[in-house]
Formats: sequence, structure tokens, C-alpha cells
Amino acid sequence: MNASPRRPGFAYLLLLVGGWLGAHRFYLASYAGGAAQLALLLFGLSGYPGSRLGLAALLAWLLFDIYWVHRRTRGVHPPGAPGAPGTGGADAGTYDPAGLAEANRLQAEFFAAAEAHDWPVAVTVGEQIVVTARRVFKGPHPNLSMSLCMFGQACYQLKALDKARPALEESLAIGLKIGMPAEDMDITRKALSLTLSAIGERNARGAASDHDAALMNLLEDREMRCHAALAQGDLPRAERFGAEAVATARDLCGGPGKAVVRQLAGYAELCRRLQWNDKAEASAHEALAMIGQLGLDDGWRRGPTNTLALLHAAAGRAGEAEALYKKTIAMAVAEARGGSSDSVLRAFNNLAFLYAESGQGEKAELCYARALVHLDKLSQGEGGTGSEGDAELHSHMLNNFAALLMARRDFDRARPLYERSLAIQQRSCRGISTAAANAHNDLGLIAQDEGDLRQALTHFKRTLLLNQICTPDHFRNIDSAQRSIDSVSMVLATVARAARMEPST
Amino acid sequence: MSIGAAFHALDRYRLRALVIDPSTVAGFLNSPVAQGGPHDSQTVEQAWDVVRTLLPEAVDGETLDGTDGLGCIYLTAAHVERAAARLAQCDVQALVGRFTGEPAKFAELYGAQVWQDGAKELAGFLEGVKRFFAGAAERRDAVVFYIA
Repeated sequence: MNASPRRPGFAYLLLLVGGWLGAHRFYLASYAGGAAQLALLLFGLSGYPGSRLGLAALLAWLLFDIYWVHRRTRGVHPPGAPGAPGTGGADAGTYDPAGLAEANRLQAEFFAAAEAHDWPVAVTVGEQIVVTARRVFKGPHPNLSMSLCMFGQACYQLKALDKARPALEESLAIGLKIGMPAEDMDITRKALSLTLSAIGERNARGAASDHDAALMNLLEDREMRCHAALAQGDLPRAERFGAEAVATARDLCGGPGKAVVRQLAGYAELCRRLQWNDKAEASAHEALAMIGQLGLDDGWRRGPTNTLALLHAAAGRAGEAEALYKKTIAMAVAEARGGSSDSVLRAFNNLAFLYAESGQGEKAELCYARALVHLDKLSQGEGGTGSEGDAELHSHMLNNFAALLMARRDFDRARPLYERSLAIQQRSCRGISTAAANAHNDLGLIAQDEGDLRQALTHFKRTLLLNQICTPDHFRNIDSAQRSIDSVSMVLATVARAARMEPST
Repeated sequence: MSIGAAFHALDRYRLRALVIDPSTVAGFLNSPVAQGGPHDSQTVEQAWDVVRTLLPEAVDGETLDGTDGLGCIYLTAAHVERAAARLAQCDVQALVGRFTGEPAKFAELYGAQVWQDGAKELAGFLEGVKRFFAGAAERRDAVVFYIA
């Protein structure tokens, strides 16, 4: 981006003194030409047959080079000399001095911004430099070419590739037209090559423009933040990021699109978990309508269909919910090609839960048993650890099944299911989860029922702590665990007091 | 090298991740608020042993093993609310008076002699802890007491 250091006078001197050696060509960065002239000289002096012709050709070439040096050095000014880029000096005679001064001031600002890696400022200033250079030089000029190159490089750094490309291409075209020094051209060529390769990468990601790429980055960021908030159990924050992700996906697609469907399906489920049922239903329906419009396969339908089924179930519309759950089971089984997957397990768990809630215990047990078979298969497939996959889903399914058995006072079958659920949670998150809290609570109830109050107290205390950590705003759960502790503690205290008062025999 | 400690207030939903992976506690405590770090901190420097003895309410939480520090206790938002309510009842001057008035009783504590002499500074820490817990309870933050 600096001005060429080559002086025309010195180039002519080299042509005169060392022209036979190609010195002027080397000086003016025509390395291949210089080497060819040197080779011709060596051949001419070798004494081989026809070597004289080589010398004659070299002489003719050197005569031509008088013109070539003139062309090569035309419009190029040594640094500090009048007309050199970055100096307002001389072109002041030919060009508008105020404009040149303005360009110099902007150039200083540009370099300061570039050194500080403040690319937004560098791009803004670079754009102003180009405008000023166009106004001052009114046509192809080394200064304009270099201004475009600087601007293009700043745009590249800012990932404004759609701006960088035309600027660098124009810089190169001007350079070729006026015969800019090769080293300056190389800088522009390298910058253009980097820009084109970045454009290729961007297009491969599916972003046709800088605007699309920025939206895709924003979408990724919002998705990541939404997942992080979900992982922390902070549903309100997750919902905010989810809503932003939907809006960004809409901007990105400019109408129906896979990204919008994916975000809408996730957002519908988030709203359902927040019990914003109307919003959840609207989002799920919109996602399903868009899936139909885009002709996407059933894999896309499963999520929103499941959300709708859960919403029907929550609203007491068991019939609609059952039909949709059966649909999701069919979709999940087809997707898993008859095998086992978390989707299949979730679908069976949801239907079983619906049956259990609507008093159809036998049907519920059958569904849970099917889900358990799938969980066993998944666990075997993962080396028998059962720790991979959706650990929360696995534990919730086991807890739900155990709760069904507990309701029938079938503690012997319920206990191992809770213990398996706890083991899964221990492996996945050191047992710090709501699923583990539920399991501890119910194991506490079993222990209490069986008269093992100390064991019950241990489970209830763990339940309280886990609720306080995992769902700090669910005061009902926290109060309920506290009440269980108080009640068991009171009984234990009474028993202890009675034991102290009992006369020894 | 002396051992110091501080109380750190954090988003109540952030606590779970720290309890699951205690090795991340040190890094988290050093990260700025803008990057999701602690909302507030209150150092008790080398008076940590004296402070936790005089204000047991402030450390009435759960021990967290597996951090890079020498000791770590966490308090959930519910613990913090309870601790703040109890701390609000504490009379710092009376506590400091008890500490300086019965040196033999507290002689075993880390750096006890230093804080017997620097009772004014100790009182400043105790008041700071009270204020810190009041603020944390108001925000419904969780708290981590970290010794390093």
C-alpha cells in the first residue's frame, strides 16, 4: 500500500550502464525480463554458433527498453517526491490541493484504525479515501488504485466481502492499466485471492451475501445462548433468545425456510414448557404449515406434532393428544428404521404418561414396558452404560414408570427403576437435576411408607437441595420438600423423646 | 504464601453448572460480569477463618469438593435469603468485642493474632459481608465462598 520507491532517472541510468545485464529490468521488478536479457548476454558471449545473433537481439531489445522504461515509470512517483501517493505536494499543481490534503488526513486516520484493528472505522475512512481519490484524480491513478486496495483489505478484515471484492478488482484493473509496480500489484492480487476464497467458504455455508452471513452468525449465537440458558434451567431467558432466533431465521430466509421451521419448532416447545400454551400452539401450527409448504419429510413434523400433543394433553383433550402421540410414535419408529432411538423412547413415554394421567393404567404400563425395552437396547448399544443419549429423558421415563407402580403400592418394582434413574443422572451430571430430585423424593416416600424414617429424611434433604439448585424459582417444589423434611424430622424427634422417657427395663 | 477467601454472588441458575463441574469454579470466579461472571464479590482476605467462626450463618451452605481452591462452600438462593435474614440480626461490634475480649478462645483460628490487633479492619469485613448478603438476597443470587 506504500508508494513505489522506483525513480525513472535511475532506471534510465541503469539501462545505459548495466542494460546488457538486464539491471534496469530487475530494478523495475521485471525479473523474468531481466533474467532473459542476462541469459541472452551469456549466450552471446559463449561463442556458440549463432551467438552473435543473440547479442544483436539483445541490442534491439535494449533499444526497445528505452520506451519500455518510459511506460513502466510513467505515473509512478518516488516517495516524498511531488505527486507521490500520500503527499499532497506536487500533484497540488495538477490536482486540487484541498482534496489531496483531505486524502492525506484520511489516510493517517485509516492507518491508525488499521493498527488498532478497528476495522469498522477503517472501512468507513477507507470509503471516504476512495471517494476523495476519485474526485481528485478523475481517472486511473496509482493513488486511486492503492486507496481501493486499502479499502478492500479493510473490508476483508471486517468480513464485508461483497464490498472488498469489487474494490480489489478495480484496484487491480487500474494497476494493470497504468503499469503499477509488480510488488504493489502482488499485494492487491493476494488480498483479492484471500477475499475470493473467503467468499467461497461463505457460499459453501449457504450464505449468498455478507448480510446473510451476518444473519447466520447471529442465528448461531442466539441458538447457542438459548441452549445455554436451557442447560441452566433458565426458561424465561431461553425463551427470549428463542424468540430472537425465530426473528433472525425469518430475516435470513425471507419467507418459509428450513431454518424458520427448526426455530419455530424449538420455540413452540419452549413456550409449552413455560405454559404459554397459545403461543406454543400457534408456533407449532405455523411450523407444521411451513413443513407442508416446503414439502419436508416426517422427521421435521415429529417435534411440533409432539408439542401439539403435549398441549392437547395439558388441556385435557386426551383424544386429540392420543392420536398425535400415536402419530409421533409411527414417525419416530420409521425414522429409526424399526430400531431404538431417543425419539422412539420419548414418543412411548409421552403416550404412556397420557394413559396414566387419564386413568388407563394397563395401557400406560404396556407403553412404559415398550419404552423400557427401547432404553435397554439403547443402553446395550452404548456399551451397557446407558449414560449417553438424552439422560434426562431416560430418567424421566423411568421415574414416570416407577410413579405408576408406586401409585399401585408396588414398591418392589418401583424402587429399582428410581435407582436406575439416579444412576443415569449420577453419570450424566453428578446427580444434580430435577429428574434426580423427583427420584429422591419418591424413594423418600417409599422409605417413609416402609417406616425407614432416617432413610426417608436423607432422600427428602437431597430432594430439597436439588430443587433449590436446579429450579430455584419453583417455590412449590421447594416448600413441598421442606414440609416432607419437617414432617419426618418431627416424627423422628417424637420417637427419640419417647425413647428417652421410656423407663429402662 | 497466605490463604485468603472471598464471597462471590452469582446468578442462581449458574450454580448448577458449577456444582456439576467444580473444576470450573476458579475460572468462573475470575471471569468478568459481562461474560457471565459473578455479580458481586466481598473479600475477607486472611480473616476468612475468623469471619466464618464469627458469622457461621454466612457459610451455612454445602461443601463443594473438587475445586482448585483450598475450600469451597456454596449457598443456593434459598440459603442466601435465610443467611441474609440471620446476618441482618448480627451486631458486628458485639461480635468483634467478643473476639477481642476472649483471645484465648479464638487463638486456634488462622491469623487470629493479626485480627485481634486489627479489630477495626475485621469489623469492616464483617459489615461488608452483611451488606454483601443483603444485596445477594435482594437479587436472589446464589453465593460461593471460595478459599484459595
